Amino acid sequence: MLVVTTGVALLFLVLPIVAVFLRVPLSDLLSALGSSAALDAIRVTAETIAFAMVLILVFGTPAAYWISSRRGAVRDVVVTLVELPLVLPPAVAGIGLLVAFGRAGLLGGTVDALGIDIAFTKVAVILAVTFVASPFFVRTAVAAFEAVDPTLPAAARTLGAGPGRVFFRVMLPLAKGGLGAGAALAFARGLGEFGATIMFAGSLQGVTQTLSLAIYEQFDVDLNVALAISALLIVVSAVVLLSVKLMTRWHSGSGSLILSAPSSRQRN
Amino acid sequence: MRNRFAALFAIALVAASSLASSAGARRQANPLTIYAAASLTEVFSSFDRAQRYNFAGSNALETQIRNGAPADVFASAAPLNTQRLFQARMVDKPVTFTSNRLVLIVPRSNPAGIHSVYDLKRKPVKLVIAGAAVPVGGYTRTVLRKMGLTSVLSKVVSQESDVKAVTGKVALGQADAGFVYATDARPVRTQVSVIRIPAWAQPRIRYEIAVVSRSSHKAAARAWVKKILSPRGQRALRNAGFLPIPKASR
Amino acid sequence: MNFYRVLGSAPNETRLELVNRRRFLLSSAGVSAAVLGGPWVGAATAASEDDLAFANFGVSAEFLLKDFYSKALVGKKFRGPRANVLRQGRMAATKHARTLSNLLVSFGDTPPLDQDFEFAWPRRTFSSAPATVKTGLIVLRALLGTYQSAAATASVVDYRILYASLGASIGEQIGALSALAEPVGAKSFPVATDVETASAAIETYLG
Repeated sequence: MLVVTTGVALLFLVLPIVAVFLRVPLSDLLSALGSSAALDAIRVTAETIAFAMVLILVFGTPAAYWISSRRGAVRDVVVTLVELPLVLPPAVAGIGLLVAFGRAGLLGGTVDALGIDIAFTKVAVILAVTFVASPFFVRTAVAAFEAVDPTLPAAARTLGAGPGRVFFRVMLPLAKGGLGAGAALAFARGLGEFGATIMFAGSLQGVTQTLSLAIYEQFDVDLNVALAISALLIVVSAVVLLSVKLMTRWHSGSGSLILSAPSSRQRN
Repeated sequence: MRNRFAALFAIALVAASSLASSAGARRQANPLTIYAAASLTEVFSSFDRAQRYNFAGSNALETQIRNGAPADVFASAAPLNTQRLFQARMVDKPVTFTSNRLVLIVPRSNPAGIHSVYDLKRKPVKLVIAGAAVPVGGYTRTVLRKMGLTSVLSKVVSQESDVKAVTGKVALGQADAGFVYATDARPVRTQVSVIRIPAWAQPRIRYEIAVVSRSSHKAAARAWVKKILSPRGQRALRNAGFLPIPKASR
Repeated sequence: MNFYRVLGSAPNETRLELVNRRRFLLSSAGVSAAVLGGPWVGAATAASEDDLAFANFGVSAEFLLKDFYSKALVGKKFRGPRANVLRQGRMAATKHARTLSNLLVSFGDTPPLDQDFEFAWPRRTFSSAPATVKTGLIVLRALLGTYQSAAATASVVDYRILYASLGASIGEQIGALSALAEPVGAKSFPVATDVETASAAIETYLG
């Protein structure tokens, strides 16, 4: 029974991925990747996700460090807030971004006054990607900081290192495996971002049309292009996942790090 | 251990099947699955609540039916999508059942100050239209071509997948203007202002309906198509703002 | 054979009529390009934005005009030679619409048909001669203004020649039609208008 259900489950999960590669010959997939729709989507996705990752790392790392140093109700509330985008349906994220940062939204006037054009620009894509992907980084980063033996920063402090020095010279190097894994996960999620982007940023080839949006549009225009982009995303995602496995294996000797939520880690 | 797995499996199966059946019980015994253009959302679902609907861009629905989606009836906003399926022998002979008009909508606040279609050329504007493969997107391009306004396409900031997505972006005030069917402007009339497009620039809009060849309820599907063509069905469409079947295709 | 030369070299009415009939037959057979000068054969990409607007608006307004003349004839407020003015106007509108349709086809477009329109004339338009003439002049002046603009700005010389000819025909119709009610003097400089203005003037009649 166990073998059968496992087999069914595996088959179910693997079949759609294999099918993408079997539908048309590999050479057709490669030539379809050269279409303008695919190339533009690759460029848009690369640009927006690079920006989003910078934002996520620059703001997410200190936030995760702060959370990891906290205990109690405040921490639980903050962690819940940070994790919320993780479980929210993308459509909710899209609507939320629209009514917050949209032109007629809460901050629409403020943003306009600052001279920033968000509506239907790459900025909107970056915001959507950052919104849905950052929790993946932050929760993994919190776990990574908490996994650092607390006696090490304490020792550094007794030796006269300031908080900044402790963070950069002790905590960051020790947690970098987990941080890298978190960044990779956020990257993978950002790569596949669809719902919030199409609602908040719209879809225009070469401007806001990311790879996922291009699949959706090409689905009933040119199936080969849609398949080619899907294949590309499968390969990239697989590489990312594999590198996460390797990173966690090298740095902490256990593959369980990324699967455990910060709240479930031992606190003492 | 094994027994527990089997039990869990059985429970899951029973739960899934009862979910499916209870969803069906709320409707009629054997509801038809009707794939219909997004612009038909309000009129179809209020005209006949007993059926199951899938509303989307007609081009997306065409692709789904081509790939074996379990539809009984296909109602498209453009003849192209039904005719292609007819040629592939995937639907029976399509018939024209209604028509529509294109309008330009702007948010009530009208941030870009658009008062005529020609303003799109004169003023900076964030224009949203549907993709070229979507019927309303094709009709939009025809209008712009007829009016000598194709250069306005450079002001398009987003190409949406169906007419409702265009309507939503404008109604929310995210976009300055968008081309939709006159019937789509109605449900959001408190949020948008409607700008007419002159009759001489109107595209020839024809909605076609067809029974899907693989349908296992073909008799019921044919009866439903008849119902849409009947005076009662036509009246419902007229009341929702749709236009009578064009003379040219009568 | 150039359209301009066709018109310009006509020594008398009979010859012109003959050529026109030939042009009519040829253009209805779908070979307008050969007759009207040729340079727009396969001109689908050469058509400018304005070319498209002029031709599309022109066809539709000529259909409207044809409907006007037909309804005016049915209204029976004009008899004998006065009715002939309407008949000739209707024939001109039919020919103009056909020529512009062929032009649109050469642009790669699908021209409109008169069945596409639900023409809507104001009540009592055709119940008296002065009312008929008044409404007809609104349509004719809108078309004249458009054709004047087109004659100045169309992208190809042959299109401009065509529009100058169409404009002249409309000018003649304005003279003939206004003579059916209380004759008015000719304007020295009828104003050229863009399609937007002309469209606004007759939009309500187009339905």
